[in-house]
Formats: sequence, C-alpha cells, structure tokens
Amino acid sequence: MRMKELVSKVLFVDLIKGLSVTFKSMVSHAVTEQYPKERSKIYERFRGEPRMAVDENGKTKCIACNLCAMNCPVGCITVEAERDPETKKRVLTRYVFDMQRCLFCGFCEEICPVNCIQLTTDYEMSQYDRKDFVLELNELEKGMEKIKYKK
Amino acid sequence: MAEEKNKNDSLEKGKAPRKPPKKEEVNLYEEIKDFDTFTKVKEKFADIVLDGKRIREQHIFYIKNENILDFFKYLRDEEKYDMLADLTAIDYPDREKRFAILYNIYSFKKLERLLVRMDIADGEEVETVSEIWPSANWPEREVYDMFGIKFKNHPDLRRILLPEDWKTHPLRKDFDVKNRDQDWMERHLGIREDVNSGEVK
Amino acid sequence: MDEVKNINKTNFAEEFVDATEELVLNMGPQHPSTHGVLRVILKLHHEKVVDLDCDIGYLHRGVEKISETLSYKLAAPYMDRLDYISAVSNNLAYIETIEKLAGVEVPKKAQYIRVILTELARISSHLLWLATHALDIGAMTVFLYCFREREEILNIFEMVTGARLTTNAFRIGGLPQDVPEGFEKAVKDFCEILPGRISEYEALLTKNRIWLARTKNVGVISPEDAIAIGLTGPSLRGSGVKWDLRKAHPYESYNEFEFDIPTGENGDTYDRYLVRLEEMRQARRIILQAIDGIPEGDFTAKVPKVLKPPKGEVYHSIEAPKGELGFYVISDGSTKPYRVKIKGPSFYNLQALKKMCLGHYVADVVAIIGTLDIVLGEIDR
Repeated sequence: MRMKELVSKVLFVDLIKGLSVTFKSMVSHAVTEQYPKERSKIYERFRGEPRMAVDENGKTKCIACNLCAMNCPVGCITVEAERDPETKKRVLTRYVFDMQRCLFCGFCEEICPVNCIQLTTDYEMSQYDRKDFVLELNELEKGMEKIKYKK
Repeated sequence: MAEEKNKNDSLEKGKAPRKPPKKEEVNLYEEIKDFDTFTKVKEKFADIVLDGKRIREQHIFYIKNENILDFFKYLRDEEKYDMLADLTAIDYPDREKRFAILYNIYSFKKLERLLVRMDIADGEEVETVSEIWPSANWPEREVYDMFGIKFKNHPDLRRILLPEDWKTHPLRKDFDVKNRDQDWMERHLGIREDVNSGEVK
Repeated sequence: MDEVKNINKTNFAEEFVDATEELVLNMGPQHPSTHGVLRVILKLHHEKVVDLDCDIGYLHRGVEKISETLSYKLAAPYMDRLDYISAVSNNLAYIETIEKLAGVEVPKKAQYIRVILTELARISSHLLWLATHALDIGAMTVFLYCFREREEILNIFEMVTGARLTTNAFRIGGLPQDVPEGFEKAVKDFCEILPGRISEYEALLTKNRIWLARTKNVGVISPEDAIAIGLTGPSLRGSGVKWDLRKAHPYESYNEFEFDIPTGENGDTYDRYLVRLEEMRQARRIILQAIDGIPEGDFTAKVPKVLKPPKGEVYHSIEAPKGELGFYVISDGSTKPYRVKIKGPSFYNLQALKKMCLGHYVADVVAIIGTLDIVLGEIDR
C-alpha cells in the first residue's frame, strides 16, 4: 500500500488525472455565451419587467381594486382612484410602480383579478437615472424606454 | 398605508362592514401527558418549574428566573439535552414581566427538542448559559443587542449585529420598524432623516 | 562588558522570538475569501493564529422586525434573501412553519415537488460551496466547472418558479402553480449528467496533493465540541455525528425516500469536503425517487386568503444545505406574526471558527471559513 502510494506520488498520477479532465474539456464545445449577441433561453414564467395590459380599445384593464398594492411586501405600487359619479365605478387616476424597490416576487401578478399587471420576460432594465425607475401608467403600458448604448 | 386606504374604500362603498362568522377559538396548548422528563424535573425543581405545555407535538416548560444554571445543568447532564439549538427573547410590553426568554435545546440521544420559556421583567439580569452550552455565546449577545437584556457572567457581552455605539434595541415592540438611531447616523454618515417621510436632510 | 556577556549567554534566536509582539491583522469585510462581508480580526504570533474575533452585522436588514409588520404570506419573499444560495430551502422552512402553526395539510403532489426543488437547491448550494472553497484554496478550474452545473439547476428553477436565485417558490398550502411541461425531463437530464461531473471534481481534487496538504488535519473539531458549539449540517456530520433532520424528524415526504447520511471520521476540512460531495449524490438519489413517484392530485391545499393562525407558538426546522434552519413563529391570532425568530445554521456554525482556527496558519483561516460554508445574509439577517 505504502509502495503504491509512493509510486503514484513520484509519477504524478494525481496531477495527470486532474489534467486529463482539463484537457478533455478543452476539446469539448464551449458552454459560455457571448451575451449581447447570444441570448440564453428565457422561460415563460420568468418574472421580469412589469407591464400593464390594455384591452382592445387601448384602455387600461386595471379596475383599481388595490389588491396588488396590498399584496406587495415592499409597498412599491401606489394606486390612486376616483369614483365615477355616473357609473359608480372606481376609475384609475394614477398608477405608480417603483422598480427600485421591487422584489420580483410575483404576488401582484398572482393576485390581479383581471390579469392587468404582468411580469414579462424582459430582463434588461438598466437606466441612467434613479427617477427613470419610477414608472407611471403610460410607461408601464408601453414598457420601459430602453437606452441603447452607442459607441 | 395600503391597508388604511382599503379601509377607507370599503367605507366609501356605503355597505355595512361584513361581520366575519364567529370562529371558535382554537386552543393549541395541551397539558403534558406521559413525558418522563417533565415529571422528573417537576419533582426535582418544584420551585423553578412553573408549568409545562404541549403545542403541536412540542413540549414547552415554563420556568422562573431562579437558579436556572442548576436546572439547565441537570437537563444537559442527566437528561442529555446536549445542544442549545437556539436562544431568543420575545417582548410583551403590556405584561408585568415584559420579556420572555426562550431556550431551544435538543437531545441527540433521544432525538427530542425541548423549549424552555422564562419570563423576566425589564432590567432583570439573567444568568448566562454559555458555560453549559458554549453555543449560547453569540445568541445571548444578539438578545442583548436586540432587546437590551443583560446576561450575568457572560464572557463577552457586546453588541453583535449593530454597531457598538448604537443606542436603541430594535426588536422591542415600542421601536418602530422605520426608526433608526438618528444621532448615530448623523455622527457617522452625516445625514438625518425624517422618520415619517423618510427624506434625508 | 556585562551586557556583551549577556548577549553571548542568551540564545539570540529565542530572545528574538519572545520579543516578537503579537500582530493584529484585519481580514475583511471586503476580503474575497470571507464570502460576503465578514470581518475577522486575527491576532497572530508569527504566522500562527493565537486569537480571533468575528465582527458581523454588516448585512443586517432586520428581517425579523420587518416580518412582524407584514402578513404571513408577504414575509415569505424576505426569507429567500437569508441564505440566497439556497433560497428554496429558506422558503420551505418558513412556509412549513406557518403551515404547522395554522394546521394546513399539504397535498402529496406538492410535497414531492417541494422535495425535488429543495434537493436541487441543496446540490446547487453545495456546488457553489465547492466552487468558492476550491477557489479560496487555489483550484481555479473547479470553480468554473461547478458554475457550469449550477447553471443547469438555475435553469430548472427559472422554468418552475420564474426566478433563478430568489425564487419565492412555495406558497402556504402548496405551490403557486403546477410544474410546467418539460420539468421532469429537465430534472432527469440533469440527474444523468451529475455523477459524471462529480467524478470530474473528484479527479481534480480528491487525490490532488495540494488539496490534501491544504485540507487534511486543518480545522479539526471533535464531535463533542461540535455539538457543544452548535454545529449542524455537513459540518457536524464531518465530525462523525450521524444526524440529519430529514431522518430524525422527517418533514414533507422524506420518510418515503431511501437515502444515506454520509459522515466523516476525523472532523477535518477534507472529511467535510467528502461529506458534501456524497450529499450531492444522495440528493440526486432522492430526486430520482421523487420524480418517478410524483402522485396525481392537487398542487395546493385550500387556504383562506387572509390567513389567521390560532394563538400559539411553533418551532419548526428543516435540514437546509448548511445545517438546521429553524423558524420560531408566535401568532397572536391576527394576520401578522407577533414574533419571528430565524435560527440560521451559519450563525451557529461561524461560532466554531475560533475553535477551529486557533493554532493554525493564517492561510488556513481561509480554508476553514470556506469549509464552514457560511452565508452572511443568514448570519446578519
């Protein structure tokens, strides 16, 4: 046993074994991605940038029920609504989503009774200014303005 | 904020607030039956052990803050509760004895967990158990840090999570979650914030 | 004259040794090998550690206080951020505690899927541990290989839960939604490649002479000491204590699966390394059993929308990748918990650092911090 150990030590068996693994991976194909050009597959359930859905007339689907704001652990959603005196329905006046605080937990999406707020599969959300992260309703419907880096 | 708004909304609707159907209060606490350790401990430390309860298959002992070292030594040596899994405190500002300290001990031999709860008043000192279970060292520091409960004979009673010159004890119930030690912040960061709006001055 | 004589008399080298003052070395909080923001104040005599003190709390966010102000459901995403390496396990521990408190029975199907996801999280946590531990000691290659496999697990998480790291995977009563199509295949594919990959790491490390020199007899802790200081998880099992909460107090459906608890003998860094590698294989075994046996049925139990558990208190703990992760929750009958206490394994494991480091070289401190597998998010809470 001792002899065997000594021989393997002298012959660098352990190092050769390890190096064989490294050499094997040198001839196998690469697993890395060249990010901005190649993009990995994003699954359907991915919770990314928030978006508010609109109906066929282009009006917001939101019924101002305030459930999303109540179910937000960090309180990043603010819903302001008024009562329409004619129809006696609540009408949305302002909807603010603060992306800086969002945890992307998906509770708002889950609780929404009309599937209005959705967390989409977009994941590139960088901005130059902090105030650009506070999204109003029209920004939420169109999606965040993407800044393209130019050389 | 959001909840307040919702309350207002339901009032706006003009409907009478719906009364929830009255549920029968479920009492989870049961009396201890056939638990060997409890009968032994109750006999041996009759003046310390006040009560024992069982909740969701978990035994809890209630003890008094007297000679607790003998009691815990007995539990460790005779009853083989050899690991202190956790130590924490709970704040009840309305009670006469304001704090409760909870020892969570575990026996590898019996594969059994035991909770020991002890009520203490504000300002009362507790004997440290870090001699019996060395793992109590940091959790006791944490309890001191978060609740301001002092442990007698503790080898190294300093704040552990918060900075050493911090003044408040944040896990007390009278400490609001938005609160911060404003003096500390002014001294070290040079800012002071408005507690209500969160604006930095 | 006398002075000269004295110099000749005394052994100069010995005098020099005694005259050396102890050196205080500050390691961290921005040191790459402290795995976060841990500050270790080392007192050195030459190269050897004679005393050390840990300074923690740089990442303190007050999770316990915050969860007192939130309803039971809403505090769950915060728990993902305790041990962010295995967010699924943290979420499971919290959710299970609330279920135990409220007396919610979880359907079998949800339990099986929970088991699969938490075991995947265990593998991913151990992979990240191996990667960083090996990197600290100097084996760069293993780092990149481990991240290659971890990526596959994160892809599965993304497919099932919608997020890669802070998954928010479970809800009180079960799962938020049923598993998607292709889940079984993805898990099985991963299980297929895993053993080959683990043997690759073993080829790189297990017999490697540098690895052996850096890990054998480093950070030895006896089983008695380990229990006294509160070590749990692989660190405890490395010392030879055969204790696993999945076997001792089975939660979910762990009593239905066959698996072994690997243990070490010497309680040194090398043994803990072997234990964790074996745990990955055992986790794979559990996953394969669970994925073949997912029963039909609901993925969630019926839970009231506004959960009000009865008055009471509950402590529940699970075997997280790093050790015993427990939650102690007190309910006062309202919608918010009265007190939430998090028993993080890393907090107790880090206490053992002093015991394990004394008498070792400075370079070994890095190896020992690595072998304890700490996450500062959980220590500081």
